[in-house]
Parts: sequence; C-alpha cells; structure tokens
Amino acid sequence: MSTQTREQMQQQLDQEQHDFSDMQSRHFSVRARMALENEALRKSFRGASDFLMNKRRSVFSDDNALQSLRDRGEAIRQYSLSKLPQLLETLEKNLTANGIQVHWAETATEACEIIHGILADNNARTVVKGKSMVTEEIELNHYLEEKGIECLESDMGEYLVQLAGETPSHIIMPAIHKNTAQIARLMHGRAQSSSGEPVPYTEDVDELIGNARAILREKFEKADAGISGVNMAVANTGTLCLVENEGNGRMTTTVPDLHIAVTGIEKVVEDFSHVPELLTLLTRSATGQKISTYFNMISAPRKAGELDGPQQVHLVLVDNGRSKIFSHPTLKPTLQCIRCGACMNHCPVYARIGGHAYGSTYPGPIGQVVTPQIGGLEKHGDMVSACSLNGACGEACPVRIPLPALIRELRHEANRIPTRDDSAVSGQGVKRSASEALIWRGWALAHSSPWLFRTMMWLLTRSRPLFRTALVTRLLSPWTDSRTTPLPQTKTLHELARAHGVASELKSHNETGAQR
Amino acid sequence: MNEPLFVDAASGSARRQYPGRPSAVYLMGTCLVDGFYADAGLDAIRLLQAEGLEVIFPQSQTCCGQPAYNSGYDDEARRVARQQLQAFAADIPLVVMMGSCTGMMIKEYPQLFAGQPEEQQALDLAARTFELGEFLVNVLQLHTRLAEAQDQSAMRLALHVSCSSRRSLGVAEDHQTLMQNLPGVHLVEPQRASECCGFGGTFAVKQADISATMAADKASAIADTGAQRLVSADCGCLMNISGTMKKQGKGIASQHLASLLYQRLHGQGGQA
Amino acid sequence: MNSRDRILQRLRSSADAPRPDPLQTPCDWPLPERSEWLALFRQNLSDNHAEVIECDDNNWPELVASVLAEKGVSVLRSGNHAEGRLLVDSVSAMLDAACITGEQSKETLFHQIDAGFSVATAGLAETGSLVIVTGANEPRTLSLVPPLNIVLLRASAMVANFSQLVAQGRMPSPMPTNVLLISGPSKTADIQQTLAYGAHGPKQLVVILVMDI
Repeated sequence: MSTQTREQMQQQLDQEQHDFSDMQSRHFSVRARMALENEALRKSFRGASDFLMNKRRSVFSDDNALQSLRDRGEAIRQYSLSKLPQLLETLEKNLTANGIQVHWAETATEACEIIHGILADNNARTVVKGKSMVTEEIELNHYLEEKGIECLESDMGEYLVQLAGETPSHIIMPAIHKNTAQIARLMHGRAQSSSGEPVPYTEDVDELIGNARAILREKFEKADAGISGVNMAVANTGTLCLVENEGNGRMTTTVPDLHIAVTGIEKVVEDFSHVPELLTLLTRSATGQKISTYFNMISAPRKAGELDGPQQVHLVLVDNGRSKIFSHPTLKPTLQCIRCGACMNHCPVYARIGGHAYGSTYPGPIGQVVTPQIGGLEKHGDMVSACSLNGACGEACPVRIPLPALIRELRHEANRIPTRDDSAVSGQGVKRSASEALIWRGWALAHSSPWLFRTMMWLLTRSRPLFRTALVTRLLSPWTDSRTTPLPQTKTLHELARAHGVASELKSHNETGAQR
Repeated sequence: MNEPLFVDAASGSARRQYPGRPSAVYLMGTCLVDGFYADAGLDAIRLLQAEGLEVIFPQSQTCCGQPAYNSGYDDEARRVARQQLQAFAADIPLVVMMGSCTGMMIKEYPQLFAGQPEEQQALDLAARTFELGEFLVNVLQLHTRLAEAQDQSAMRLALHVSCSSRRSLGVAEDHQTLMQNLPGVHLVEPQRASECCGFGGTFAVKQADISATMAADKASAIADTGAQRLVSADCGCLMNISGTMKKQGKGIASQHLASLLYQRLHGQGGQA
Repeated sequence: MNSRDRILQRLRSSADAPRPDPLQTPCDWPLPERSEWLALFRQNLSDNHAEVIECDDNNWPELVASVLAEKGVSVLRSGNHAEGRLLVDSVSAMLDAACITGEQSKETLFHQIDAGFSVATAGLAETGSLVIVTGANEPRTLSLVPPLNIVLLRASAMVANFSQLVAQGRMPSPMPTNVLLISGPSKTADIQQTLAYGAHGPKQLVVILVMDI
C-alpha cells in the first residue's frame, strides 16, 4: 500500500504533468538529458526493450525463415507503393460499393475538420477511440475537445497516458514509460467511476486493469461514435483490417452507431493474399506474438437483418505529407512502414532516452525518419543526429526499411545547400552552418591531399605531449567529459610502414592479385 | 575480381564469394589507426607478412570519407573517397583495419559514385575490399592454424565487434572464431554484446550525453565479465570504450585484434 | 481540384514502374505439417490462456452444459445457427435464460449476458486462431461483450495458417460486414509488460473442438 494520501498523489500527478509539458517545450538535447537523468524512466525503457527484443527473438527462432519472410514483406510493401494511386482509387470504389463513406484529407487540419463534420452531422457528443497513431499525428483529441466533444482513449496504455495528461512514448505500448507504482497512483488519483467515485488504490495489475475495464465498458456502451485507426486497407475487397489484443478496437468499431476509421494513405494493399505475411510480420515484430488476440476485418456498415455493428462507417484517408515523401527519390521507403515499433525496441538510443525525448508522435528510428518529413527539418532537424548508425533498427525492420540510410539521408538534406526541388524535405539545408560547412570543406581538403594528410598526422603525433595537458582535455570536451583523453602514438602508421620497408606501390602492375 | 557485392548480412542470403590466397594485398590503416593506433597497424602488416603476403601500404591513403558522409556532407565525402580509389587502384585485395571504414567502401562508395565517372572503379574496389578479421578467416584460414601460437598463456578476454562489422558486413562470427581458436584465451560474452557502444563517429560529439551513457553501460557490461583484456578490430569503439573504462578507473587493458593475434602467434609486438 | 484529386495527382506524378507480383518473391516460412495441426492449435490456444475441450458430434452439447455449470453461467446467448439452436435446446432447462440472440439493448448486452456462443468456420493451426464470419446469424458482439465466449470449431475445418486459408480461396467472397480471427481471451500488457486477461473483451475463451475427422 502507498503511504501517500490521495491528495498527495494528485499533487504529485499534477507536478508530473507539469514536468511533462515543461519537458516537451524544451530543445531536443535538453529533453534527452532530462530523460538520461531520470533513473526510473531509464529503467522502464531498458526493461521494456529487453523484454520486447527477447519476445521477438522467441517467435523468430529460425533465421532463414525470418529473412525469407522479411523478403516477402518488403516485396509486398514495395509492390503496394508502386501502385499506390491505383490502389487508393480501387479501395475507394470498393469501400463505397460496400457502403463505407470515403473522405480525403490533405492536411492534419483538414482531417480534423472532416472528422468533426461527420460527428456534428450525427450529433455525436461522446467518442471512444481505439488505438490510432495517425489521430495522434493530427492531434485529433485536442481539436475535438475544443469543439466540446469528449474524446476518450480506450486502449489501456492510451487511456493511462490520457489520464496523466501526456502523450504516448511508444507506438505500440503507449504507457511503456510508467511503472506499476506510477500507474497505481495515477488510477487512484485521477480515475473515476461513472458515479464520480475514485477507484481504490491497488498495485495489482489484474485489479488495475479490472478497474479501467469497468470505467471504459460504460463508455463503450454509451458512446455516440467510435474512432479507430487501420493497420491495413485491402483495395480489392474494400476491407479495413485492425490488429489488437484488448478488444477495445472491436468495441470501438462495433458498439457505437457511428464508426470513423482514420488512416494514412500508405496503408493500402492490393489483395487479401498480401495480408497474411504482413500480419504475421507485424505481430511477431511488435510484441513477439504469433498473432494478436483479434484480427478484425471490416468491410461494411451494419446490413439489413444484422443485429449489431455501426449504422455508418467512414474512412478518412490522410495525406499530411505522405505524398511528398512518396515523391522523394531516396526517402520513399519511409512509407513501407507497418508501424510495428520493432525499430524502437531495438534502438539503443531509444532504450536510453525513451519516446518523449523525441518530442514527436513517432519516436525512435522510424520517428526520426517520418517526423522531419512530415513536420519539417526546421522543427525536427535535431533528432536526426541522435543516431549512432549502428544498424540495429534496420536489422529488426520486418519490411527491410533501410532506416540508418534514411536517417543519414536526412542529415544530408539538413546540411546540403537547398535545391528547392518539389521533393525537397521541408527545411532542407536548415542545419547548414557556414562554420560547419567550412570545417568539412577544410577536412575534405586535408584528406584528399596525401601530403597534407601526412603532414597533419605528423603534427598530431608530434603534439603527443600536449594531449597530456588539461588544455587539450578541455578542448576535446565533451568527448573527455566521460572518457580519458586519447593519446596519439609517437609516429604515424605511414611513417612506421615506410621505416619498415613496406612498399607503397605494387611493383609489377600486371601481376594478378589472386592465385586461382 | 567480379564477385557480387555483399548482400545485407541480415538478409540470410549466401555470403560473398572469397578469392584464393593472393600474393599481395593492400592494407588500409584508416585515419584513426594512423594517428592513434599505429602500432596496431604495424602488427597487422607483420601478421599479413608472416602469412607470406606482400603488403602494400600506399603512402597516398588517407581516410575513407565516412565522417563527412555520416554527417550528411556527401560532396566532401566523395572528394576524399576519390583519393582512396586512386590509392588502391591495382587489382589486388584491399584489407581494411576497421569495420566501419570497410562498410563505407563496400556499401557506400558504389552509392556515392553512382552516375559518376568513377562508378565502375568504386564497384571494383568494393568487390575486392575485405575487413581484416573477415580476410584472415575466409581468405587466409588463419583460424585453422592458431594452435601453433607461441604465447598460449591463460587470458580472460572480452571481444567487442563493431556494429558495422556485425550488421553491415556480417563478419562478427569471424572475429569470434579467431578469438575462440586462440589457445589459452577464455572468451567471455558481456551482457547485450551486440549493442552499440555509443561511438558512432560525430554522434559521440553531437549527442555527447547519450553517447556517454551508452559507453558507460558498455564499459560496465565488459567489466562485469571479469575480463582482463578488451579486444576489438574497430578503433573507434576501442577508443570510446577504453577511454570510458579508464575514466571510471576500471583497469582493463584494451587492444586491437591485429595486435593480439600477432602477439600471441609470434610472441612479440602487440602493445596492449 | 479537391483534396482527393490533388493527392492522387501528386502520387501519380511520382509513381514508379509497377513492381513484380510480390507473391513471386520466394517465402520459405515453414507451413506446419498436417499431422501437427491439432496439437499445435491446442498448444497455441492454451498458451494464450484459452481452454480447448475436445468432443464429438454427439456429446458436445453436454460438454458445453458442464462448462456453463462449472462457470456459473445463468444467461447464455447464441447466434442463430444449427449448433446454437441445438445448444439452446439442450441447456435451456438448466439455465435461467438461454436463447438465440435477437434485437437487444446495449444495456442488456453489457450487463445481463454471461456467455456468448459462436461457431467458427475455420481454425488456423499455426497461430491457434478461430475464423468467425459474422452476419445476421452470428452477431459481432456475442464474441466480444459477454465475459465468457464459447466457440465451436470442427476439426475438419482446420488449415495450416492464415496464408493457406487465403491461398485456398477460403475467405468468404464477397467479404461480409465483419470477419474475425480470434486467438484467445482479450488481454493487455500495457502495465509494465505484465499480462492481464479480460482487458475489454471476454475474460475467458472456451473452444469446443469437435473431432469430426
């Protein structure tokens, strides 16, 4: 049991919420440092990353089978993207024939307006939401709340995060940054039954879930509308597919009379024969499950004679920068993503700073690739440097998105002289500073001239004694803040090689290298 | 040499084809080795010479260009890369002392020079470029002759394989094979061995706090194994981890893989 | 031009040449052997906290009755299919209320029904999944809202996995309003990766596996 009173917990929760918004208003490097200094947070992320990596490994025990499945997954996603405009039209045609109304939104604001319009037309005042990253991306909750519509997240993690006044820190496990004790305080301090009673304090996970279940079931029963995401949309049949474990997605799409599904335009596949491999890649990569508890395939609103299901189903197709990503010659594979989160689970940087430090809807490697392209390098250019290019994300990606190469490409976009091409990432060249460009130009000069290079390295080795001084240690900060000062050797390898008579050139050029 | 380029190590497809034992090879020390690990470079030269190879060390070699490339300065990287195309022009294998530089030359040069006059040159170089450990195992089969090592004293050893060697090149097993076959060496595996040490070139400077945290975790994991020595074929990682360990007061010596091999095989050289 | 046309125009202007059929890309993901299907199916479901009860074409209503008794079910609703009608007939005497679902209020659905009975049209061995094709006679909420969900599956309807189901053309065509794959009771691991069952949907799933092969 906790030694705090409910009032004390509420004060602490208010403080934490305040700290969260304070953190979100800071610069990337500050957010990262704040996260690194937060022991509890780091422990949560380390534990979660280890857990999820092990779970994934357990369902991919045969590496050849995994690689083969990834080949297929990549081929399906690339095929789908290569036919994207046609598939979207086919999808629209078939959904419409099935009775599902299709809407197109170019921007986040337009998507919010469309959704609000549908709700207003139906006098919907209360909305339950299934998990949907794209509605986080367009900041739908905020928009609807300003219009006086109650918008309740029903995925357990999303519910907890909403209760705390925060945003998700992971695309699959939104409350991954909180430990059980923090959630116990949150539920007791802020959750209320319909009669306004606080829920009793408990740290028992089954009880915590039971309490949230009771509150949310009432909301499902009463809600005017349900808003969900979509994991895959099948063009040939006009089907919306949703992957979930909790049942809240099914509740959201089945119980209220109105269902609005929202998806990015890239989620379409041509045929049902393309679905099974993507599904198995998705659940295995995300949470190490062979399959999720529910795979929910919706093709129509309630038909005559059917006893349940919404009377109206709408699909809002959101562009919000995706068609621009589509036009970029090298960044296009960004759109292959199936939003499994494996890249963040395997990212050593994410494991240390967590999702909120990125300050964006999508954190981790895929977030570093998507966010600057949607929101611009001006605002999100810093996060692309938060990558050691170690490749763990690319290795885990079920559809083989070359994430490290894309992050590097975005560094190039951020630092290059702006081209003003239509496909240029917004904020192209924003990180280019005259001094840094000059340094690299000088660096290139020194390293493309053997003589200059040898002279420079000679000087480096001859200044070895200086490297023992506090001055150099200070100059080499921040490297030396946590490491000893590296010490050059007394002679360069170029010198040693020459001194030992190692040839600089091959004597006879007609000699072949290998004895075959 | 017209072997196909590396397929992604993680793709599970067949490994690259290896040539027979050559009579001569190029050695690329890399810029980091040149200034900070020159002894290890000399050990690599001696190791290859002891294998009966003529080693060519072009005095015109500088750096692979990776620092600029990974920072997004493609033109600058290309300029430096062009210099290496010239330095290693003859059709003999190129052995590189660092995994990340090897990866740069094998994977990125063809991209960097795509559509440029040097494209074919870049492809040719990529096909005959090998990471040191990879070359020792797959071309020279050195791991089969380690039983004759002169120094067989007992040593508890931790091996760190760089992310480039592990993921981009897929040669982690080669490094492990070499260490496991060294008589007297007891190889220990640190927790989360495959995780990045936090070096990442300019990452260590641009995101110094994150990098330092990753390095500290790596140093602790290695210290926890009770290893007497840390070995790696990547000097970036080595400098990062050993610098962190020393700052933390952990007395674990560190050494380049080439030095350890030369020292144990021939009983000399190889300063730890 | 409206948003739709502008989006499509932008996509069309930078579309690549069509890629080859992705199903031509080899995929060596192993299919489980037919001889292992039933064992694998049972194992997967029990790993996911579901109960699997084997029975035959004659005794299954009795076995369901004993499950209902054991779990203290007093109100049961079923879809309107032969199996459901048979079950309702055989258990109506012992329960307070057992009937085929008709029009009902959400209040009734959420607060008065202990168990829902559904029939699966296929089973997927590799993942332990039940394929449920909903419609007028198989309401969507029956397998969702009541705390206990009982699903009958004939062993003869088992296939290796979802890929095989689709490849053999066994997905309904045209697609009905809603098709489901169900692979256990509802669950969540959103609190510090600790699994808890009965998140929003059923807390328990009982699979009645009729051994008709």
